[in-house]
Amino acid sequence: MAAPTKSGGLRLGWRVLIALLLLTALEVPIAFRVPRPLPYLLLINLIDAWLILQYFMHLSQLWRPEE
Amino acid sequence: MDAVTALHAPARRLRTRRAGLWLFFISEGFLFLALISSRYYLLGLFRPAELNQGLGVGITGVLLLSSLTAYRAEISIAWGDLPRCARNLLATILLGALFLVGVGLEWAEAFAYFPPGDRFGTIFFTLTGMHGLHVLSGVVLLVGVYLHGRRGRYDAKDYWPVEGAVKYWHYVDVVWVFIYPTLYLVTP
Repeated sequence: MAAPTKSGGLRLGWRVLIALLLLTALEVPIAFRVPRPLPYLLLINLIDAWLILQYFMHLSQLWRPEE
Repeated sequence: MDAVTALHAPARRLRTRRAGLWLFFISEGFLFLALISSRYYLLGLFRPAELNQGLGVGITGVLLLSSLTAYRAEISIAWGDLPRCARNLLATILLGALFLVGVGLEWAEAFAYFPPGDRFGTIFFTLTGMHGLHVLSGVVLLVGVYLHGRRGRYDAKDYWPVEGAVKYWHYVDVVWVFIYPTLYLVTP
């Protein structure tokens, strides 16, 4: 696990969720106010996906199998 | 230790299961990549004004929140806290069901504005339908894991079914992170 303690792990989950919600909230004004928003939206989506893969799905377990 | 015994050693078995699950995610990723790219191929950056933006962002929030509860279920069982794990699994199941209700509402509105014969309708129903099927299968998986958990079948040393089902749930979330802007937000 990314966090060494249970409470640390649970707190990390909240932080990741808040980041994801903020990024999602950012997408809406970008889509409606910024001209040609596709590159910005794609960048936000890639950050979203990385957060989920890294912190929720523990992607690094694949090359650190002792976790 | 001979090769067969080594393959079935617990640590090796877990590594093999994880690798297999990630290969499955990659193969499924190609499916969704093809569907998402078909949206841009057929429609370009066109976005209908009739889309219910509030509902779209609402169900996105629900799915993101369900990823937190799924994550907490896995963390809890990794530390041997089965009751908290079960509570979080149940919350994930309920949030998944709520997401599906939201998709149902979305569909009810979408039928009026862009039916499946329409070009946007075809893309909309295919993408949300395929993703909804994955959410439904995730909910079924989580219900099975939850019921086994309530019978005390998992502990801190052996909880692969929880980990596998939760990872699948996060995967479904990652896919939606790309589907949501593809359907609701992109515009020229």
